[in-house]
Amino acid sequence: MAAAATAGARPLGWEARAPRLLRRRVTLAYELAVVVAWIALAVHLLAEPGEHEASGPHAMTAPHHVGMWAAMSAAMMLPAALPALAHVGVNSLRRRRRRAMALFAGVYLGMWLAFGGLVLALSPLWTRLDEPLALAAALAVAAAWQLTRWKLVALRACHRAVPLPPYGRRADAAVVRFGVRNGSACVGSCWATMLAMAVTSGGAMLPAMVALTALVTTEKLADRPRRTTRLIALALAVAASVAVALV
Amino acid sequence: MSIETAVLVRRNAWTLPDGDETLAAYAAAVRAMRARDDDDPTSWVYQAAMHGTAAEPPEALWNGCQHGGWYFLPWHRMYVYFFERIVRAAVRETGGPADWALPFWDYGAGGVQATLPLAFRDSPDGDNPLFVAERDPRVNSGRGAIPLQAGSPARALERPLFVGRTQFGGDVTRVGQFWRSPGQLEQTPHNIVHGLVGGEGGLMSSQLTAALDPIFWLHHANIDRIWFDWIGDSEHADPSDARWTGQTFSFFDEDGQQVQLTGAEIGDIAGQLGYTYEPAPTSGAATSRPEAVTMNTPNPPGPEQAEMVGASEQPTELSGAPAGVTVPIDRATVESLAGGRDAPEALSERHVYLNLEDIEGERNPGTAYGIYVNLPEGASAAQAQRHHVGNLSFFGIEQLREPRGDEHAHGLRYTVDISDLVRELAAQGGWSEDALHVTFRPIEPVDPEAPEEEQHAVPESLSSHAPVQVGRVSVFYG
Repeated sequence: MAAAATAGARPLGWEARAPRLLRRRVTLAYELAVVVAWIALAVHLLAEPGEHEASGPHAMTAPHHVGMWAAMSAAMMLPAALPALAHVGVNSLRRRRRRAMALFAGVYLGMWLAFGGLVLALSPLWTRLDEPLALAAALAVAAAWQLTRWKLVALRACHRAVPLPPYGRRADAAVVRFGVRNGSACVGSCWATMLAMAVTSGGAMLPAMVALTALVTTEKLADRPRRTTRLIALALAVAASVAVALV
Repeated sequence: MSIETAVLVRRNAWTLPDGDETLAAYAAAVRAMRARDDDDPTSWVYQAAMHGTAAEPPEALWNGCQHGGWYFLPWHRMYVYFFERIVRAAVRETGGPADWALPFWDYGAGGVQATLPLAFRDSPDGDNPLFVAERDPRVNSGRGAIPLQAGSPARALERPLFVGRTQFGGDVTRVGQFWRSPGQLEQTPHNIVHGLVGGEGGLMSSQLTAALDPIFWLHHANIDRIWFDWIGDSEHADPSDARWTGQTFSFFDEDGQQVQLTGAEIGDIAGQLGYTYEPAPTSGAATSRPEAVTMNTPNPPGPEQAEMVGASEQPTELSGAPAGVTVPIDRATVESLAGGRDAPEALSERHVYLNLEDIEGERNPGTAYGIYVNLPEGASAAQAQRHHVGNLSFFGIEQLREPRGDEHAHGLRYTVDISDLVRELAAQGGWSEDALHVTFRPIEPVDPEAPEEEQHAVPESLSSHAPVQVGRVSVFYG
């Protein structure tokens, strides 16, 4: 008999022992895309900090806005979507895999771009405010949202899948449906956090992006989401207080 | 040797000698525990809530059960162990035997043993603490037995490894009430027996109420015994991974004090926990498919490393009647996997996994389904037995969208390794790499006298239930 406490127990199946990094990585291209997006954003923000100063992102041109928002969405929101992308990849036929994953990623990011459009349309509501005040308000809204039941419902919906037929239009339609459901659930879960990002400008943008990406990804992948969500609410509330102190 | 240091023996509830007090003492203890305040950790209600409850707000250690992964077996071993200590203390208080140990229900032995033990049925005076009305009436009356295909642990006992989605103990998961990688023992007989005993809406059918039924504990003692049997094979080993051996779970002891155990502290039940099981000559004798599993490699690749070669086009709805779905296999993918090898050789080396995915429903209907691959039209029950690859249960389905514990929502998914059947079918010319057909046949309590092969027949009287949808059936080659 070989009990858990005894030495010399036979090793597990290699699937359980293989380091995660060495396993087949169906999402490798998207992981690289995230890295590229971060590098592009860092280079852009560090090279031209003045462009995003004082008046905030609302002072930029519309194409610039779209480009920035798209890069931010890819850098900040794709990491949390990698498990869903892997799900699409593994559950698609090999010859349709790239197409299915690209379709999912496109729809998922499209949901975030649509949210970005909404933010742009509503931005006159806060452009008249001082930036620290707008940021404090956005962070306070984000902290409050974390504690609502809707937030929990949306976060749970982020983890649900839809059946993926193998062939043809039905397969494409299912991937699109999954992208819409997953993307809208993630927008529903993280919209307030991204709103805080939208009112940030200048040299604060890059650190804010890093911090918020860490929060969003941790929350999505955490063992205990309810507890994590509450801790993040606390962190956002503290950040809101700091922003108020700067007003 | 004092009782405190002796190894106590858990015995078969159906074969206790005449005059044995074990079950009467259990009944008295259940009555005593029910009389305790609900917020007493040693009360009946509190102990059941530690498994699961819908009550709000949750108290300490409620909703702690672990399902759908590799923590299922260790958590339940610890849970039953501390429950047994609490019951033993209550037995002693009520004048029962000081060496009381929890009996087990070996439904896998078949025959009369597959029916609910007599002590748990209704009594003439209507005052039996071990009886609950919220069970399937056929099981509760003894008219219906657990079918062998649902109660037999044979398929689980054949698995060579503990860890893995198609292996004995389930795949690596985090801590949480319901994940989607149960092992073979968790699926059959554990999940299936829960549904068959509870029926639609019964206590045993939901993890929020299951432990309120006194038979729950004998069911789990049996699951624990099957693990004990499996590890008794020198080829088998529990996980040595520190995430498993070092994982701590908390419970209450007989004094109401919080206590903890880790995976490393429960592997040797006699040496570390002070109990063992009486020998069970019938254990594992009843098999659904008597042929041994032959493994080509000691550590087969898991489904995670496999490649999808086909999937069903549309969901399958199950509502009590037999149902089927065709899974087209993509020839281009199969050829790309063969890598120049000729097909027969590739097939002999291959692992074939059948996945049932995106399973959704409002609640566990109690009814489980036998899963059959390429079952011929009009097949006899004996033929069906040869095509049987596993069982599908919906235990825990209510918690998938809105889990009670602090965890993410999960889809329900079940994977079964069908490699051996595929090789058998290929040898007999019954396998095509164009498509396979999957049939679902409802499993209901059976006549205890029915021969094993007849237990695979479609039940004569089908009872419809709230629909459950299997979103997709897929085939993976590994």
